Amino acid sequence: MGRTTPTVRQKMEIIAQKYGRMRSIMRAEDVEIFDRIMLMGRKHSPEISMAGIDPETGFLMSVILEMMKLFRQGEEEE
Amino acid sequence: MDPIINGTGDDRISLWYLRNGKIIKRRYCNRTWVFVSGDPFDLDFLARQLDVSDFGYNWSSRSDVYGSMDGIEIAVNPSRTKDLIRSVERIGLNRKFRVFNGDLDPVMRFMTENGLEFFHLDSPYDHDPPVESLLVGGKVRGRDIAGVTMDGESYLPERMVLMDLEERISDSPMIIYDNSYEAFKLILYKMRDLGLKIPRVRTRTGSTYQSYGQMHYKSPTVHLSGKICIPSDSFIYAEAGLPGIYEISRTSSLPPATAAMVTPGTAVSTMEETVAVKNGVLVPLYKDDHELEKSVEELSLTDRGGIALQPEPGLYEDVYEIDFSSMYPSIIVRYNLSPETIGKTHGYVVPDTPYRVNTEKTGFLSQALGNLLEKRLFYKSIKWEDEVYRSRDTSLKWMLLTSFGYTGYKNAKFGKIEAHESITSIGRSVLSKAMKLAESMGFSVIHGIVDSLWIKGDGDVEELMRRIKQDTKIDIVLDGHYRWIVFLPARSGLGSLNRYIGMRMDGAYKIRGIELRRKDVPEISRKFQLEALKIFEGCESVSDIGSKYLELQSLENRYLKTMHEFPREYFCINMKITRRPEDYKVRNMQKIALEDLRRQGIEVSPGERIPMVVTDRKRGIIDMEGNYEGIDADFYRHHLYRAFECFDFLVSRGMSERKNRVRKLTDPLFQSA
Repeated sequence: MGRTTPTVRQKMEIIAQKYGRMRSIMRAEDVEIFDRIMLMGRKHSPEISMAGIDPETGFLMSVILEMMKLFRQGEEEE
Repeated sequence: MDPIINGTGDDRISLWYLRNGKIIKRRYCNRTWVFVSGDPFDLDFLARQLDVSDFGYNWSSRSDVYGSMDGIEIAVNPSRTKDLIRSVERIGLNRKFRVFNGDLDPVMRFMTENGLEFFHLDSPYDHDPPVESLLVGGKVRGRDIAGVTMDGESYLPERMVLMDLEERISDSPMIIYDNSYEAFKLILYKMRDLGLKIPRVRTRTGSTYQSYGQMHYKSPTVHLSGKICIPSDSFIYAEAGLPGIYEISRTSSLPPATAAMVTPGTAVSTMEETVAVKNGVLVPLYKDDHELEKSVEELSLTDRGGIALQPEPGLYEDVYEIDFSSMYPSIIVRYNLSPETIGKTHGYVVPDTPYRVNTEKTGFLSQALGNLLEKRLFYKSIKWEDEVYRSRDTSLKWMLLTSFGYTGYKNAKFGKIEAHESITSIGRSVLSKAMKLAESMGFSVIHGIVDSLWIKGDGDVEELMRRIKQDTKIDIVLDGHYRWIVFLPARSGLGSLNRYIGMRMDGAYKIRGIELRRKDVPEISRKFQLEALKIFEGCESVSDIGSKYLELQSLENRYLKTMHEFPREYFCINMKITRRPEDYKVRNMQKIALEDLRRQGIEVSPGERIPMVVTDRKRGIIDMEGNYEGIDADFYRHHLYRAFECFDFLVSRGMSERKNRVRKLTDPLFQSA
């Protein structure tokens, strides 16, 4: 069977590529943070796929989740 | 009773019995029928046409998977079936009739209807009947034979050798041949030119096909009259050897030569037809049950595959790998998924889909795959005892694997896209249930792909598997307990789904996705990785791995510095040809190799592989015949760096655990990981 629709993982890669065009005029110090955010956005594609939600929203949800993890880590270290 | 080892023919079926090592052939008349259904008025019209033809017929009522129907059963000789169907379709203006049992393999149908079985075993523990076989191949230079191999021994193609081959061919009912570059065909032609006796030869040209985006090549085939000819590049032969082919023959009622040539998908589809014939269920010539109507939202919700989690790249200690045994076929059997049981009104609801499955009656597909699944699970449980059982397990595993894919294939006789979607949906739900159970019982989930989970923790793994089986109805087994396992990063920095190195408690490695497992890397990369694995062999824990830093670095340096001293075969790379020379837009190594070969009069088809040594990549010099000296050091160094990466990652993770040394990693791959 040939798939009729791209997988969520493929859609997330497309979203990251689209955002990736921002890098070309971004300041060097921002690029590093930006790349990290792009990585965060793609970290939860299996869960987004399982839930069947819109990948654009899923991408943002994934970034928020990873950021909250960082906050919590920071809090614990304090 | 003497075992049947082959069957040929159509109107007259010839069965080959094996008695005391000798073949005895018996011939049987074979007459068969096709069934035609349609509107009573149209059928009446067809009957009147048949009255004035030489075909006999009778009115009857028969069932397909959906239920009973009235129609006409037309008696016919198998060799005339195609003509009959063409006439029936013309009479019905290609739309008024449905034809059943019109394209079944005549040998398969004869065997099944008469309750016969190839390579019959009295007990599943029995070995297969001993059929004498000859393994033959050759080496080609240009358009000439440069060498002959018989049962693994190589000879020059001299008259005495070919006379010996003549005798061996005459004595062996089964010939396993390697026909790459048409070697076997050229040997046979040479034998004929020398006046030696060989059976009648039929050949078929090689073919290129595409599967899952990859080009593949099927070597030209050779058939010798009166022999069972098996190509050594047959998928099943390569995977499971002769016992695997015999097992497919036994389950699908296809003769061994056919069983060796068909894909596992065709084998399982024929096995389903066998079950249908045995149970009197009609097999449609053309499937006409279309996909159920669905909205775009429903389509995107249902058209999804299995779950593949995103592992966090890193090194983990004391990890269990638990695998569902034949997950998708088990779902078909235990959840009663079959074209006729899936609908939108009755039965249990398939999660995340608008479908319901009726469980009042066992579905055809569940029934057909049930026996196959049972047999596979049996051989899986005893595969450690004997190589033959392992081969049978492998061939059955492939059949079951493809049985799932066939439910989504538009031309599959017993396929239905909704069954395919329901299987993956239940699969996702089963894996997520297993994950939650694991977490509730003291484990953390490191990774999961479709039917496997890698977990870590202090819980009771046996109890966990018992609970998972109880809750999901699917068998789950412990596939491995690892001292340590490293999940490697992809270029993006995210965890790669299927690249890992794990060391089991018994000291054996399980490796996926690294260069060692790839066909398109030079031998030197493989040799390096094999040596690197030896360094980590004795590592009991993560911190032991970190202590191997210097040893690994010294190995890497040795490979880089003494590269030129390695034997020439270390630099051989098997390049896959993906298109014809004129279709390559860039003059890359494949195109150069193809042009060189074309000058020698050798045509290579897309999908084939060419062994070569890269002498100077920039100037486009490659060596296929040992004519040049030297190698392109930059090209091989680049490949070595790629081969180093996974071990550098492994040791860096080990070191950071030890916290006794910090290595400056300049490669962004490691930093992002």
